Amino acid sequence: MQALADQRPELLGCEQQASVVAGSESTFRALVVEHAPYVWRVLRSLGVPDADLPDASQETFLIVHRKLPGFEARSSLRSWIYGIALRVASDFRDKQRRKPRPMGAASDLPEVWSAPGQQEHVERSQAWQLIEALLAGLDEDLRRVFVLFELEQLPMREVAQVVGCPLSTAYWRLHTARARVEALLAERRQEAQR
Amino acid sequence: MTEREPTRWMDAAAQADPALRDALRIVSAERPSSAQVQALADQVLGSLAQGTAAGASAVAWKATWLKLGASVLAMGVVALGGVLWQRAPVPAPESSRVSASTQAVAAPAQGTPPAAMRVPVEPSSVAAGSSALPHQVEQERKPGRALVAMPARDVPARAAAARKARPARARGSATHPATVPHDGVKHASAPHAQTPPELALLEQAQRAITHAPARTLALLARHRELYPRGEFAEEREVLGLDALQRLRWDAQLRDKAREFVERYPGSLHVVRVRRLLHDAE
Repeated sequence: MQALADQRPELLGCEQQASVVAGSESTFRALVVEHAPYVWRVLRSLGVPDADLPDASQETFLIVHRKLPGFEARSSLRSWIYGIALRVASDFRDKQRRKPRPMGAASDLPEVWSAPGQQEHVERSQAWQLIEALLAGLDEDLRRVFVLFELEQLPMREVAQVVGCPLSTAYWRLHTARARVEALLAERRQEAQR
Repeated sequence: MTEREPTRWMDAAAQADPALRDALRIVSAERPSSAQVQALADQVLGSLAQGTAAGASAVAWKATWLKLGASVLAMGVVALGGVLWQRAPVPAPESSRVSASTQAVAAPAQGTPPAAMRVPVEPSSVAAGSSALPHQVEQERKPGRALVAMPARDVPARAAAARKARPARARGSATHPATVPHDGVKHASAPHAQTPPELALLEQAQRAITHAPARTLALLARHRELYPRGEFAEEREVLGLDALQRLRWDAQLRDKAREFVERYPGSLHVVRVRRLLHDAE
């Protein structure tokens, strides 16, 4: 069964598959590699500072590994991992609040990524700066829905599932978050014009 | 129920602010490099294998992460790894190893290594004891001193040769107490241990040397901390010299090379070390 799990894990049932993935080094590695990019991105979008991203990413996958055997496939694996990442991000932000550190400066931007061209680097830095500044003005609940829908491009039904609220509430939060983001953007422009 | 999905702001059809739309597109396309993802996978699996899933080695994975990208940060890691590796003196030669190692086993833990030194061992190199990795192949492996007589550049090959040459040697023998590190963590004492952790860590350091000599130094610093008078102390020192040469840390290389020659005048590595010393002068 181990050989089967390593080669064709999709042939197993969900619960069986989850425990096999958690118990097999190669399959769990494949899981990490597949899901790490968006885990990392959502952690960052939810306010985990660059310096804590490695720790937070690792923490997320360690929790995934621990809980994977109990994964019941009520949602997609991706949604389930998103849920874990949200809680990890929240924990890390709490730690950050207890031990404040400067954030949002250009030097905090992702300089450790694969080396881009200078122009591309500037564009990316500016993009992150803008998005982070806007997201920082949202309450946690609004921010989660906004990030999952606008950045992670999850369907609203899945967004509601991940954040654990009724679908109608998720819609309301998205609507409110968008209004707030537009207001913050207008404020920034006004300040820039002064 | 069929609720209409809102149009995302990054979609062209949305009536969103163009600057905001572009920023959303850029950020949503962001991802770490594949090397960083692999490093994360290594770290996660390493933590699981070591049974330190509480995230004790997250700091070390962070060092790996940072090093992969920015050269400035990498230089910091270089400095750290080099300094840590260099700071410790070359351990005593083989004649004093057994008693010293035995003492190390008998003694309680001497203290936890500093966080920056916690370079995790690759999953494949960690000994049995991880119930999370059931498919690990169980093999009898125990290298001997034959390793010392081989060139310094290829630790894995020498280790394989050593395993082959002395397959029947008892594992966890009292003559090799150095496989129990100072921190009290039991790495390879299980009856069906894989590669001894001391050697595994050295192999990991050796594998990193071509693309990340700074990581090699950090791993060697960790090795020295865990196995100050281990089975492969000489190889560790020579590998460190090799890493220093690749980093062009000539001054440190000269100091360490001289120290090595003083400590191990009869070592088969002396010729090579003298050549490194000559090149650095």
